[in-house]
Amino acid sequence: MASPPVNPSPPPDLSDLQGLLRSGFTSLPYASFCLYTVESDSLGRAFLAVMRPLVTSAADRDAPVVTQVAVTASGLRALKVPDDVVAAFSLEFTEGMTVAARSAFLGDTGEQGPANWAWGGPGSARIDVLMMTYAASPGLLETACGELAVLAAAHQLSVAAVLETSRWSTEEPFGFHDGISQPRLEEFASARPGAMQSPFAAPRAVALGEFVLGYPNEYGRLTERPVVPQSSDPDRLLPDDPSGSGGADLGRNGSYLVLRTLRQSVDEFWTYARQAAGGDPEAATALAAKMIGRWPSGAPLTLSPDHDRPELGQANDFGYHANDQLGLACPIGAHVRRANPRDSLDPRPGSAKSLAVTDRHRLLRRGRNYGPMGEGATPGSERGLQFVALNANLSRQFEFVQHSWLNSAKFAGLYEDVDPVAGMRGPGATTFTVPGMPLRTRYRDVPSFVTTRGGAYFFLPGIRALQYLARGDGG
Amino acid sequence: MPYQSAVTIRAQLCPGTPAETLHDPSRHQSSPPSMAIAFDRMQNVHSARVFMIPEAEEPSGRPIPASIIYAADVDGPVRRHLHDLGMVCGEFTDLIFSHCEGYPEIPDTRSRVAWLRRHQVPSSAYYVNTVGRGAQQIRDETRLREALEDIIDQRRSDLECLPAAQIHRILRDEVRGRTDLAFSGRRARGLPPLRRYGEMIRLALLLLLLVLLSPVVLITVVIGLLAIRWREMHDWVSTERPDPEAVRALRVQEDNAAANPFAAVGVVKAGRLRRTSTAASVWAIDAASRHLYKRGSLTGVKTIHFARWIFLDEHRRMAFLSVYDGSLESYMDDFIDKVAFGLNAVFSNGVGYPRTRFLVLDGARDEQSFKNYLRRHQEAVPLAYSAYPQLTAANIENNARIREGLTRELNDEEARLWLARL
Repeated sequence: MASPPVNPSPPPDLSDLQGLLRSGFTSLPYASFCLYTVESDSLGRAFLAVMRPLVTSAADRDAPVVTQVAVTASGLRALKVPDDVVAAFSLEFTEGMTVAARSAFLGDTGEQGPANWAWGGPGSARIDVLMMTYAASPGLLETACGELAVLAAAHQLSVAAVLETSRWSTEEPFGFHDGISQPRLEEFASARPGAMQSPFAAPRAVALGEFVLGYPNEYGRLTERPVVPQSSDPDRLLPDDPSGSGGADLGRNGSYLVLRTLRQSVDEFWTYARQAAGGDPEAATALAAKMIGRWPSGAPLTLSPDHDRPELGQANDFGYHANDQLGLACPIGAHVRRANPRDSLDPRPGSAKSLAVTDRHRLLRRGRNYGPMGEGATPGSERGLQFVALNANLSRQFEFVQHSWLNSAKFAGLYEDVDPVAGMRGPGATTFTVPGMPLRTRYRDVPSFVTTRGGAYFFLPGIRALQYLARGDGG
Repeated sequence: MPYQSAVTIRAQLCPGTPAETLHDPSRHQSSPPSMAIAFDRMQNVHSARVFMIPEAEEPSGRPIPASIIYAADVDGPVRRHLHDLGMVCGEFTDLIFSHCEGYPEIPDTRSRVAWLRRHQVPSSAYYVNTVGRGAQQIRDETRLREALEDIIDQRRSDLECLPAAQIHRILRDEVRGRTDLAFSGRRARGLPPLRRYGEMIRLALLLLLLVLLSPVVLITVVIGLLAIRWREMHDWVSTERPDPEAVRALRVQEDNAAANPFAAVGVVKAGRLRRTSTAASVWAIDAASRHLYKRGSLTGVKTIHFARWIFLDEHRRMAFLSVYDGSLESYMDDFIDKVAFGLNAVFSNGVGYPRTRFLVLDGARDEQSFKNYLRRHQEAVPLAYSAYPQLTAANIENNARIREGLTRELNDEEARLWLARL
């Protein structure tokens, strides 16, 4: 439920947050995401009860193996969570990613539609529970996943899909440094002293409540989240609703997790770039960089328009309006400029107000690559991104970014442009315009290089909320 | 040349008419194209929509029967549009109103127009993105931009080594030479001089009146706000979430074009104080839209093509209709981020609205309650027409500036900025 303004933010109880909210576990390079269907509600709850002590919290920073748990709305129903509790979650979550109107909104249509997905679509097994396992070595991962498989089977959780990931890398499959710009959460800042020392790394601080439920968001309010009657929580597992409704806050310390498998057509991407650039490899890299908005090293085009400068690989301290209003360095329609427009949108581009508007549409990205990387990749091999994003408001954050920024042909005054890398193509949306002096270059009928292969919305509960869900209604 | 008018027709449905009359999917399938065909014949319509306000009950228990609303944004006088509806689009007009009370049994132009006149509803406030920019101008300037883009694509190797000012001149001469684009040499005409002077005199009188009455106005506003502050603390605030089924039904009809029609209807809080504050706020919005926000931005929101506020049922209810770019989510965010103040002034007089302070503070800043409130008062718009469905307000503005740049000589720096619009 919505609630009156709350001042100042209480410090988060780190031991109740799943660790993924705090970090992407990049020191654990091996990961596997397993999706299950719950066959028995009581055994399903028992499974959560068994898993709960194994779930790594944000307070635990050095675990060599990490387990995280998330549940879909169908999972909550399969666990026999009462209907009124399920209905207290956000509509986006309870309806799921694949209802028709939402698919149209997200651009999951035609070939990209759920009917053609490898998982999460209407033709494949129901997705109830997501188990994410991270480990320091392949051996540890294998052991942990083996144990998980035994436990899951013993509790009648059937495997709906296993999403493998490649060894952690800062480089995404197209060959660009990825994951540079993340919102900064002050509450976790002490976690990594020194990490913000680079003169260019100045990520924007965003309110904790944009990502963790139960804390003030960028409007100074508590985002809508499930608050249940105290009577449904006789053991007082859940924290009190901080807005003072008298209910128990099932959402607090939890988040909504978006998982999507995005196949990247790496060969097609580079073949297109070479052809469109007239065959010259250097020009191909330059065009690809225009499409992404950063050079392969990560150096932003805004700061280095003409060539890659690896020393700027982590650079994040720039504005588009401030440095490059017309998009002469980084095109208006480039991927990173759409995904995070910084200071470039209304009202009054370049102002603090413009930045504040962007802050209400940020995501914590926790994705991992899949498929062979680097030397191991052969032409045609299946690879891409297991996209993982955390946010408190699916509608205002993930869905907004996907619809109004990445997929909108009208983004920032454009006419028929798409995100040349990740955007959904459609009638009147297949162009990529590279502004230039004196003339722009229009690339028309740019093919699609990213295909959605699966997806679902999950609730990543706080650890006490997980215990509440495991306990069930009947005690 | 033209000024813009808001046309609103409201008619009660005959008792017993099935509620699906307008929402029937089979009709929905066939109607939009026929509406487009019928309306494309009129050159002066920007947008139009038809929707139903379902049966409701007043707080007193008195029933308000269901009604059909037709609303259009047109160039020129209302009466001309009513005449067009009666003659050019007679069949369409019959189709939407045939279930309404008193509609002529055997309609002809005369009887249709007479009936439409009787069912007109005035708009108490009307916002037009850019006053004086007609539908024909928008269509012409769209063709102009597309032609320029094509010329650049075709001749870029000849052009790109030339100085910007020279490229500008070549492009200008090229389109001026085409008969269908010859207009590009002339500036868009805007409002006719008489009307422009009329508006200036109106504004001057308004300001004069405001200055003369300022002591009275000030005291009234202060007393009014204090009285409202007292009530705000006790007014009922709805915490209800929208019905998921209803939201699903609304979403299916949203986001089908660059710009979308929005419609919401709410009940005004009881009492003379609230009725007066609503009327005063709407009056202020109308004055501000007419004299201040008439060039592309409503206090920073640049994505609204048209908006109107209409009182219904003797000021007991109010309807808000607009045409906006993008998704409803982004529209609501714009409301909260950029116009919460003005929005609160009107809508906080609606029953159940999120709690405000002094009429204009808080309110919409309670994001989720505000979004829930809008969703719960929103009406589905099953029939909608746009003369330029593929254009956002930003596109239209850019096209107009491209044309404007062709009407004069540009130096090299100006030409570079002009070329950046393409």
